[in-house]
Amino acid sequence: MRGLIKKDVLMMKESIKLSMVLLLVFLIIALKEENTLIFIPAFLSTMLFMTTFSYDEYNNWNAYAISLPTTRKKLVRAKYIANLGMLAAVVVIFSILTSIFGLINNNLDLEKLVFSSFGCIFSLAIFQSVLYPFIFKFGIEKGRIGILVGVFGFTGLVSLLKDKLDIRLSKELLTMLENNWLPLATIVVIILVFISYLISQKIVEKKEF
Amino acid sequence: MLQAKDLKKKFVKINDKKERQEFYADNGISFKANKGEVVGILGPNGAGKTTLLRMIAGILEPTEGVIDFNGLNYEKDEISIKKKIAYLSGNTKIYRTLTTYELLKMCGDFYEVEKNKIEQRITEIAKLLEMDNFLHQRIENLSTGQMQRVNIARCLVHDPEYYILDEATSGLDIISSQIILDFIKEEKKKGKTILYSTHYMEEAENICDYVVMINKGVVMKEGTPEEIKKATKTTNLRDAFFALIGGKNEK
Repeated sequence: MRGLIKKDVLMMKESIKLSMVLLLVFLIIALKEENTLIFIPAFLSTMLFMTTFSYDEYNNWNAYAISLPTTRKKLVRAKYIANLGMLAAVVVIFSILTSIFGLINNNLDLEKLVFSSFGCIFSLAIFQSVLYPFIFKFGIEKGRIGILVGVFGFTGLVSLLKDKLDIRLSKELLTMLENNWLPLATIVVIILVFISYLISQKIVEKKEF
Repeated sequence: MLQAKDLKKKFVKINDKKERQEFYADNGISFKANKGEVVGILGPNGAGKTTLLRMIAGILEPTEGVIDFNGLNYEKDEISIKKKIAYLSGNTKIYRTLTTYELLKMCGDFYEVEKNKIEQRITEIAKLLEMDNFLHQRIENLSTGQMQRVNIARCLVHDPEYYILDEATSGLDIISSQIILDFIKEEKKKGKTILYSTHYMEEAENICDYVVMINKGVVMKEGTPEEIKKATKTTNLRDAFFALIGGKNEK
């Protein structure tokens, strides 16, 4: 599986070079900005990873990959691990940089930084969880439509639930959720990613390439 | 030895009337390929060659039938089999932004070739397929023939026992084709088992020890090229093929 992950990193070699320029721009903004700027580079890294699916499709990768001494499960797992790993790496790098700039500018808000960093990882992990089964089922082109459905659907769902939660949840429960958001959100996201992985795996197991 | 027994593959297509229609791309194909033998799978486009080879390479699951690699089968020994085979298809493209060297190293990782062995292997392969002068060039800058050599090279990194080559010389110039045919002859000498599908009958006559002629998913004739020519009372495999399908106007 290490080879499969390395392959995706190699595929992104060109895009990574281009992203370094963008990264530089964000760093300059981050130097001046009081707010943390983690989400945009993290989102870009997720979008960048999508290009590996395009490369795979163009190169008929899946048929070749099935002939390799690996399992279909591992093919799916490698994609999830590579993307989540890349996302986490980008968030960690930008969190460290934001902390350094915060210390230099004397405006470091650690609580806000932690919230932004985890919020970023969680929201993009959920985004990936919604999207990947679509990509594995329909391919990247139709999966792009899934991106739109995923983004708008998720946003709509959250706002809908938010309204309902305001009505139903007691103050005590809300306080409890607020105080324990990190472990709770971690558990929810892990479950979502795992369910998404299982669905993708089922799809790939049944698919004929 | 590689053995295919009564292989069938059923597909479903939607016809013009939007009805589901089942059809067999391969319908009961059996053959054997011994160690050190080049077995040609011959037939026109749409005969079922690619489906057959994809089943043997473990990409497609047969609807019926058995594939046996010297006692190993896909049901129980999938990974062990896949470590021993190399599959090359005319349809598979290669990652063009990589250099040949990077690609070969990447393929070495797929097959878990030891780090110290992969460098040596790449050097050997580059020499064998005459790729030294473009080993560090990006693949997108190579000619079609060079790309196909890279395509073959990536199948060699793990030193497979079985080659499954689907239309390996299709669309190539005479020099690149010859390099590939020479490579096949060399691997044969080393005792490798090679399945070679092509619709170039002359090429098959040149390199195949045994030929399985298929059309419409069934075996029409099999044997050594000489046996087939003798049985069809022809002087070459092209004429033998036409004799078997009943003339050039057969649809």
